[in-house]
Amino acid sequence: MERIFIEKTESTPLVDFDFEKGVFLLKGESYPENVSSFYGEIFEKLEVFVRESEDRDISVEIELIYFNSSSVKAIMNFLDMMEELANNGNKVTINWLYEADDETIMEFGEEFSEDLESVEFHLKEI
Amino acid sequence: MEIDDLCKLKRLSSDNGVIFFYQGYFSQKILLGLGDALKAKMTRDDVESTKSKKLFSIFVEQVQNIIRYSTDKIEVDRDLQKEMSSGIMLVGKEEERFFTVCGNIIETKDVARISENLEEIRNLEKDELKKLYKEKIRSESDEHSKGAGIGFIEIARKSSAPFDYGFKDGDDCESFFFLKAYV
Repeated sequence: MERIFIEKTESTPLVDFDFEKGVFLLKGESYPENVSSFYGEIFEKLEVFVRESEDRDISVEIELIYFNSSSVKAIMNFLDMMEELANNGNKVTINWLYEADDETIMEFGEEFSEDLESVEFHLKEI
Repeated sequence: MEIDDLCKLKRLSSDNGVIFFYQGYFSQKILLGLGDALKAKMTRDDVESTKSKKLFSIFVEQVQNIIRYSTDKIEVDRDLQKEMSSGIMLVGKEEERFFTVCGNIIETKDVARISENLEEIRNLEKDELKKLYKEKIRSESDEHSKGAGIGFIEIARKSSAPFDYGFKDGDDCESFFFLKAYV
């Protein structure tokens, strides 16, 4: 599958999904005007990848410094897909990065991780 | 509007600690522009990073609430289905706390529903807000939904005191809705 690479803007994150390597990166801020038009197409491709992958190492790095409430749903959908990948026999590692003084982002990481069982989830201070 | 009226408006804003306000049609670009102004002010005033992030977050939820739910909209591009929504957004400081107010026109028939929803949210404790937030996100039908209600919970979670809200100038069809949050 072709790599997805989208440069970050003021209100949308850098998205770098390298399907061949199994490395996914989300970095920046997320408060787009329309969450589904930004994430919709990206997630459609990801769904195909989830269906087709087994026995792979998947490494995910999420470094979001701010996201609005509508983006939370999108992030959760993304994490659900990672959980599904892990349940399908892939080894999925997620690093959730947060700035040292940023309790909000750290707490979000904690809350998201409560719903993940098969994924290896690390909270990391940067 | 006469110059004298403008002076009165300016004085009224300054006397009430208003940092800026914008009234008119909103777009994502205007959100980004106002957001820059807000960030610049926070940096200049050396506002603690946690507080400044909470304020920015509430500000974004409020502006996006206007963009999504104001019933006073104009079409700017039919092909792209682009619209702009009318409302008012104000940020200020009273003593040591910041306040943000958003306001927009809604349909009067929605007043009871919105008011019930807000009354529930404003009285919840931190843990209860977290629980409700998770429930709402999980139960939301699909990604096409615009996120009804979650924005208000987000505002409550980031606030340092319960928000105030109200409905003014209502008639059978339309009412003016406002919400004031504190950080």
